[in-house]
Amino acid sequence: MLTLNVSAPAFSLEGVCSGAQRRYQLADAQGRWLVLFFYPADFTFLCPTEILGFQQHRAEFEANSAMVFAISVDGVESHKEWARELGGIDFPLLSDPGAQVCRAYGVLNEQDQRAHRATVIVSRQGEIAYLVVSPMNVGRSVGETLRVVQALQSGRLCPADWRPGQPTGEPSLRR
Amino acid sequence: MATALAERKVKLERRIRVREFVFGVQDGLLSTVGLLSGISTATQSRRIVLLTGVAAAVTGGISMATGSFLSSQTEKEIFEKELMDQESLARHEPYLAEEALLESLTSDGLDRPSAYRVVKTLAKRQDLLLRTVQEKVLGLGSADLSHPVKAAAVMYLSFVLGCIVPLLPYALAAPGSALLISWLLSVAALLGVGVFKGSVTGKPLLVSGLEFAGIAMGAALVGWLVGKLFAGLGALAGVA
Repeated sequence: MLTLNVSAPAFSLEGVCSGAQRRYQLADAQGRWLVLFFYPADFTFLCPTEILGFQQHRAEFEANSAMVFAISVDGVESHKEWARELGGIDFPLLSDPGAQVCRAYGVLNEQDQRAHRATVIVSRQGEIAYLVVSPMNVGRSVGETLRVVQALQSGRLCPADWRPGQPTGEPSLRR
Repeated sequence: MATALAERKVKLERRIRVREFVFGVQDGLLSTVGLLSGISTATQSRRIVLLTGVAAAVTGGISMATGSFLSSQTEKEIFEKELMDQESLARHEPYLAEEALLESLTSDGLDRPSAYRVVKTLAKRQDLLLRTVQEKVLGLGSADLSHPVKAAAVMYLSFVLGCIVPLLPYALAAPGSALLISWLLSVAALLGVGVFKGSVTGKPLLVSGLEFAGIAMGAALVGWLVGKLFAGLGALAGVA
């Protein structure tokens, strides 16, 4: 598993966004925040609740200058079919069939060679700013991910359940 | 087509009772022919042989029926508990039930997208999803196969029937020939049960019949040898 404040491992993966296929890289998010959203597999029943959650909140991530990349070990064709099944997904679903990126980020479940349910937030500077791994049976909160992005972007000390506009603390203890 | 399949299911539920019948008759025949062979050889007394046979039929039948009742009841209770747990699972953790069914279908060779769509369709009806999970993932068939009382009754009657066959010759035939007739009748009866079982299960009749006959002969042979051994020991000890 990676630790905080280290450079995010670079990657270059085929992906699908709004039905179109192209190659996506870590560098695509240069100067912006990036949410890497690892999930176990296409065509499952818990993952789409999260993917559809990100789809629903994608405008808010964009408004906060944050990109969202979802990554699984499924192939591109699977992603295309899966996205169609879900009614269209407008953020990139990246394909990591060799699981190299999952392994590089330390979120590969070696037992079944699928990604853990892990969320990694990469800062504008390309550093790991936040990471969390959720058990396979517990779906993640998209709202919480957005809140964390906003809290990180504030650069301040943010108390529990902090929301933008609420009081913050001095950032000197941030690290 | 649906009606024909439903009728097959009912027939299957009836055929499952053949399990108790086969078990009871086989056990009644084998244990009695072996026991009576031994007692007859050891005592040469028709009265003792008959008393032993009747006692074996009554007590053995009760024991077998009780065992069948308790085991069927236990099986039924385990199934019912599992079904209750699964109902709770489907209600409170539908994703888990859906994922389990999805994994089961994909491991059977269905491609993931197709399996997903099947499960998604089933998931529109919670009861349907639950039944499919029970049958496909847990192997708990919807056929009601556990009738403890029926199983016990079939077991008792089958066991007693099995006991009567080898016992009758000792009641009706001359003492010298009873042992041989008992053996022959038992072998014939087991051959018949084996053929019957083959007709129900679709196994070749001759193979099924010979299987039973072979087991019967083996058991009778062991009983006869034990009787011979006891007779020899009795003679050594001076017991009449």
